[in-house]
Amino acid sequence: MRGNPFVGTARVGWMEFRTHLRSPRLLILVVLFALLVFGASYGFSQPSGISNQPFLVAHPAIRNESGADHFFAVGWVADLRGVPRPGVAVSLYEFNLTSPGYEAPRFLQSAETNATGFVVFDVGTPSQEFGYQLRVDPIGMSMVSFYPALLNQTFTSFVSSSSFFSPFGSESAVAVHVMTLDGYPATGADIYIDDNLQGQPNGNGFYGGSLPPGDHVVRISYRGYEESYGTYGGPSSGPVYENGADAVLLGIVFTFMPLILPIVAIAVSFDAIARERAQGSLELLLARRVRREGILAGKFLGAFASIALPMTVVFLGGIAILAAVSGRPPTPSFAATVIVASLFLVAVYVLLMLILSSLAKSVGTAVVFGVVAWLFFNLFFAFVATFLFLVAGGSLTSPGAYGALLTVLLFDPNLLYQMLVAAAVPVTSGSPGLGLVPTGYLSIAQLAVAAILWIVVPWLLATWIFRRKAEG
Amino acid sequence: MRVTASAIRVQDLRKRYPAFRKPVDALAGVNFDVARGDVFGFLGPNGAGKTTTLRILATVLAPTGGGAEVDGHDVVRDPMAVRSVVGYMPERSGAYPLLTGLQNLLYWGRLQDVDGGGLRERARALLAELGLEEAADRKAKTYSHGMGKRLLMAQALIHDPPILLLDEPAGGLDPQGIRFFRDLVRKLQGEGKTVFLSSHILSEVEQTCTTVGIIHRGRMVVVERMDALRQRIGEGAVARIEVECDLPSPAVMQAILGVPKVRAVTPAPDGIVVEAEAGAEVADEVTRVLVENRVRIRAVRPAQPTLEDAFMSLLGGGTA
Repeated sequence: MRGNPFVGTARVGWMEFRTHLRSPRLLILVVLFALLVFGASYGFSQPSGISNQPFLVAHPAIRNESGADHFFAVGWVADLRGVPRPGVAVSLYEFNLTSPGYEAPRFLQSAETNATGFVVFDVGTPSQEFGYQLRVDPIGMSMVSFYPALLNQTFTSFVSSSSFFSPFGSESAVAVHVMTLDGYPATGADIYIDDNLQGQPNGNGFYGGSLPPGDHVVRISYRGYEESYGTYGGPSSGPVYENGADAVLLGIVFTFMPLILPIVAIAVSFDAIARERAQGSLELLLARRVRREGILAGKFLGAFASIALPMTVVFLGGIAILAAVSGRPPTPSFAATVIVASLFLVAVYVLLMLILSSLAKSVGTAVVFGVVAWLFFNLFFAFVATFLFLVAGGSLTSPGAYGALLTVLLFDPNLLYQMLVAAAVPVTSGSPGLGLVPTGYLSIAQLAVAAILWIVVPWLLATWIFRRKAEG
Repeated sequence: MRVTASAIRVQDLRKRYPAFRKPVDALAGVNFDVARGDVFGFLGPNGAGKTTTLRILATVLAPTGGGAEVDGHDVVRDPMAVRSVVGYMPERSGAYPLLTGLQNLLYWGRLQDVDGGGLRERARALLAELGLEEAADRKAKTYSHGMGKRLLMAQALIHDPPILLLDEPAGGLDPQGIRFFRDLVRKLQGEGKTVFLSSHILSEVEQTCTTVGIIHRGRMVVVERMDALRQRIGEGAVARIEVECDLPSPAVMQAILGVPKVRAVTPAPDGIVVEAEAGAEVADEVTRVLVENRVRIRAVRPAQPTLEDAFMSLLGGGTA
């Protein structure tokens, strides 16, 4: 009559699982969790950063019509990826170039950009003493001046480089706008970066590309005339927008996952043992043909599965949303890491709650223990560890000391969770980006050992305490 | 399976509950044997260690000293074997409130490795036998106290164990419920099961148990066959005779007092009560005196010494 210990575990686990799936508690938590994940997946996936920062360029243009030169100020409003902004109000101002003091520019007229983002102002016959200015509030302004050397040029150009940093990554991009002297997009111009031909402008005269870190020269050549610009690319983890899905996942993990995951785990499992004790069923359970470890394992697996199942579904839904919105699915290995690491954090908190729930004499005490555990790791631990570190003379700018602090922070499962996810961030262009591991502070092996210990030690502690408390 | 003479054997069983300042010795060396097929009544005042003993025998608690064997299996070394031969009914209800009675019973049965196929039929039959047939598919939270007790009994019986450990099975029940459990215990005894039950209700133990053990402050005060105990109490206690008769005159009362070994005569609502020295047989002499004085006698009953008397005299009175 030797019972298979796994059978009892499975039955206790199934009971726990079924109880939770039927409880409104789990339903409310999952709905809350889904709203957060779906909302963040949608919201964070919106194009952002440099990708949709609008800019204004202004070009002088000279057209020979009926034997006479006509002068125009051509404005183009687009974002840094070259997407035109139609219907933007652009104002034309005139200002005195020869005035000794400051003289406020004088408003002349205003017009809206057309479907391709262009606006054209006829400035008649400009005086050498006056320059022109195009303005778009609040984007900025751009100068237009007509000077004698202009007549020797075949085109006018505008080059802008920008760097964008965010918790989700960083990138540098260059934007080039080239117009022929008579005011049309110079689609035939050749654009070089450091003497490497990059390509030609599009139908709107725009060329955009990413810029590797470091100093560069952007050169534009068209019909025998050239212009060069020195420019600089900042550190880059690759185009943020194109890796948007990964960036959004990382953003979700770094903003609210360490807050919400423990709440879900605690709220589901805080009374796993205390409830059985309160309703008297624990005594019946202890008299059954199931080992103590088997009961606890069943409790753990049941509570964990009841959270893990809906949570994985919510995560996959969130990934589908952000893939649909940003147009690219996240890197599969990274998405898998985020899900597995999140389930790991849930498992840790379920185990912690099994310990606290075994200690609690009543369901009310179990609630208090759960809240304290949440506060401890979400507020207390990192603050106190960092404070003590600084008081002890540690310096955050010293790599050795900082590495030591990170090691101490592995004792906080929330921080370990973030480090696990950060270690798996795809690094696209040789820059460390957010990856902690490439920076050499912590190794994958250290993180893995910490993660295993965070499961094994609470489990051993839980079985020991459960046995002691159950058997008096 | 080993065959041992005793169904339950407890030797020098000790249990100390740890406490911050003063550990509590719930059991301070308890010894007793329960023979197979016996109905053992476990008596004692509150806090004497009854429930602690039962929980150790059910392998819920671990003893801190001594040992206990159930059906030849040690409760510490082989708790799994003990669990398969024991049906344990705790005093407090332990049902899952959101499950139906039947679902509760199926769960406990499955945890006891009862065969999946026959389990449902057995559970239904048990619920019917215990009068819960109509409540079987209702959630346990709707059950009354008595129904909860019956469900607890059903879970103890679901795997048809040869040994039953019942903690206050009739506690808090109405007379009908008490009778139900008394009949059930007799039926179980008839099936050859060993029943170990703790109780406060002395008359219950008196009527159903073949052996009685009395525990006080963590120690056994007495363990004896019910009839032997009754006799022993009889030897030690005053002999009493209840006489149903017309109320005799003071002169007749005086005459009865004159009978050798009679100590007191007191009027009762429907007659008199005569108390004599322990072991004295005064019924015939008292009857003779009454008849001679033409007092009409309807009945003469030698009053049996009760377990309550024993309980009181063994515990020094007043603690039950």
